[in-house]
Amino acid sequence: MTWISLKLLRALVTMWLVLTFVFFVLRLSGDPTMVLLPDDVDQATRDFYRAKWGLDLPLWEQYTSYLRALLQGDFGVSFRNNLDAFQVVWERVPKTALLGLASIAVALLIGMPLGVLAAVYRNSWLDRIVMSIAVFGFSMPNFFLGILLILIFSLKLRVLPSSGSGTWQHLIMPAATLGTGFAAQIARYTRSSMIEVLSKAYMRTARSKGASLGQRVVRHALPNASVPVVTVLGIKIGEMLGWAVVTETVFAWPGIGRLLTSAVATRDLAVVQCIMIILAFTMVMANMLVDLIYGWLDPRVRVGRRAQA
Amino acid sequence: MLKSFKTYLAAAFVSLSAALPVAAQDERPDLTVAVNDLPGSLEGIEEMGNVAVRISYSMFDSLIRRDFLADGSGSASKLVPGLAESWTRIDDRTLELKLREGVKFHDGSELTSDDVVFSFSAGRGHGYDPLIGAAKRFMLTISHIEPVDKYTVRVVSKEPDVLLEQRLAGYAFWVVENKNYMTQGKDAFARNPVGTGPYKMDEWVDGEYIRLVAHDDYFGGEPTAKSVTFVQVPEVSARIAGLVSGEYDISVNIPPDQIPVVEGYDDLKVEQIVLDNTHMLVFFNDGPTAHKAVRQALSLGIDRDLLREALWADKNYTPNGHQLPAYEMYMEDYPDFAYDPEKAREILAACDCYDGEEIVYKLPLNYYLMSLEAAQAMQQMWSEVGLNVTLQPVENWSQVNDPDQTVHIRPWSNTHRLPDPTGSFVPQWGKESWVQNNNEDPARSWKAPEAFNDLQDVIVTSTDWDERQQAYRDALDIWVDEAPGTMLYNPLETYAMRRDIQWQPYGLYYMDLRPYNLTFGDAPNN
Repeated sequence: MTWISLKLLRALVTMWLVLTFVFFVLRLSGDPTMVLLPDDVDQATRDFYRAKWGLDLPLWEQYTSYLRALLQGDFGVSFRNNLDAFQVVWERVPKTALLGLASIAVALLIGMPLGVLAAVYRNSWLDRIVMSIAVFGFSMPNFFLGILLILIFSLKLRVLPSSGSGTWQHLIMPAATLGTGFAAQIARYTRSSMIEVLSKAYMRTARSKGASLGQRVVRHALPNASVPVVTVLGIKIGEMLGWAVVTETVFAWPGIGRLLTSAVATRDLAVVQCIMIILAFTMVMANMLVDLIYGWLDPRVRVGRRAQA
Repeated sequence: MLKSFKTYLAAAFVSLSAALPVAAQDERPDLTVAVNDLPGSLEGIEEMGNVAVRISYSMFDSLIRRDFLADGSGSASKLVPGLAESWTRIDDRTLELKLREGVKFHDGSELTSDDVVFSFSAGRGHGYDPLIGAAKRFMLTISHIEPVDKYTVRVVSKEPDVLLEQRLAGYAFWVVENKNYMTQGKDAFARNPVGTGPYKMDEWVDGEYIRLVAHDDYFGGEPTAKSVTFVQVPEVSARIAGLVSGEYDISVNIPPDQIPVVEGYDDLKVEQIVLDNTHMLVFFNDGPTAHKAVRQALSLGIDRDLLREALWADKNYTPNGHQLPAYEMYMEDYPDFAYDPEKAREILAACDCYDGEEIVYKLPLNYYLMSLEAAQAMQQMWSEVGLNVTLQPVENWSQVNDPDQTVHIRPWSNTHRLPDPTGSFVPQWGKESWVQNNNEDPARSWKAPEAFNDLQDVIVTSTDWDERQQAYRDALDIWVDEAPGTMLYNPLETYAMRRDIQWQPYGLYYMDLRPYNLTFGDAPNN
């Protein structure tokens, strides 16, 4: 079995486990008719909707028919608006992808240069300032940072919109909120990885050959120091989706995170399940991508894989 | 060359001057409303929650309209012509309504009796197995609708129904465009509904906004806003920030503790209304609360005045009995819910049925505004009369109603959808109610005295108003004495808005944006 097919099989098993877990937990933790219908609705109306949504069937029957439908590409129907659950979720993907990419860009553009600076000028005042900022950025809860930014830029200065996603200005505060904590972590990982690389013999060789500081850092140290940072990036993309739930709610950013919050709260089962499949898929793909990038960055990994195959 | 250039310039000037008046014609403002959530459907009888009716009320009309502003309060129940210009009782089961002529739907077609017959048809909303089940409870008394001619319909009830007119002015009786509905199908119609209201659908972006534009052929006059956009902003702080920064004109669902923040800005104001909804407690017929004396002591031990003062700045009220001042049968002399800790202690001592056992009050978090704060205060009040109540906040209603878990008290709210006991008291506490027929755990059901349920029959079927009122009073006496639950207060709903907008909220969650209730520009006393 090739390396790729093994990875794919593992991905499928992971997604099935996630899906099964979510399916049962959601159904055992609350009745959608209690949340979606008004609190003073009569029993007959509740029964009508339970039957309509198939909630009156035994749990195992609901599960098998759901799996059967899923294998035919049918993700079910949203209880809230009777629309195809996949369509409801898919419409939100571009917004979350945009926010995610912008945040990663913010994180990399801020985090990597700061981490490199801190490593090159290790134990100097610059290093201490950068690391203090990193600790602060990492410790600051993003809902707090979000509200703080709204207070400053929307309420006081009135220069940025507080919520929504209509224009590029709407992206600035959510991307900054989501990207800042991430940037702090990237800075810390970059710093420690760079310190390790800078002490290697080939860096001394490069110096003795007369390469300037900039050349040594950019051409020799950074590619080698990037491998652990890329690993972290893969894991953090998944974490970031978790943070996006909060950020998207604070800024009314219409992405998957906010859809997930409202779908869980209203027990919109088909939508939650669909999101979980997509999230599991994203995580699995992100990890696979990281593995592939390893090979590109580090020839030793590529050679090892060939030997295994 | 020069000549042709001049000709071009002249042509450009002429076309510009022709275009300019068109652009200048519509100077009405675009209104933006920040809302906590958007509905999943705008099918008027499918989605009737707060988030839907605040939008759909501007898209649909009813045959008879409830004039909430008749006494200036926003909670009045006077009936005035809507899509019907007049109505007459043919007998105690039949109401004949004459439709306005020339009323236009959003798609330009004219309102006829066919549209009304379709809107209220059994197959759509109240038959044995209708297309939509959510509105059946509001239409239960309806037998059928008959077209008499193009502009006349007859609504026939199954039993004599003195409230037929009120019913037609309430929930679920919005008139939809017949052909459009059938051509599009229910689900497509729910996303792009066609009614006769002052605003029509323009764009719906899920999770972001719903934009309506003015329906300039509206029979009630030209709408005062060019468009109304309901923007979804779940966070209160973002709704307030957007209002301050000028992104929104109105923000809904402002909690009481944020009112001073809004009032701190010169260009903003708040509009408040006490809702036609009452926060309640249900005492289950189980454990200590199976004893009437314990239930009575629980009710007598609550200082409702203090709750309102501490939590709502005393801007709301507690009804005197299960009724509202807007009820047609309102009994002004009916006694208030008493706060009498001394009597509560006496009752408990006399019954010899309670010895400090734990009474469990389970409540879902973040469902009713201020419910946890009220519960904590009541826990202290109850402890002072010797009742040992434990609070158990949980995540959702399924956990509250779980038959395998102990629960003696749960919160509830009753919306008064009609100004009559048949709009709330009877369906919520009567013999068909879940309180008397608890599905999760039948043992928790209230065993109502037979006399109470007999009185319900009189309230529902009698056409003699005096007889109905006496039966209502007697039923209320039994309900207060039996204490299967009690009332706390009617909550206050607060809207924050720009100071130059003149708009008044209603006791139900409708946002009425019709020309008589939405104007722009400073009011004389602002």
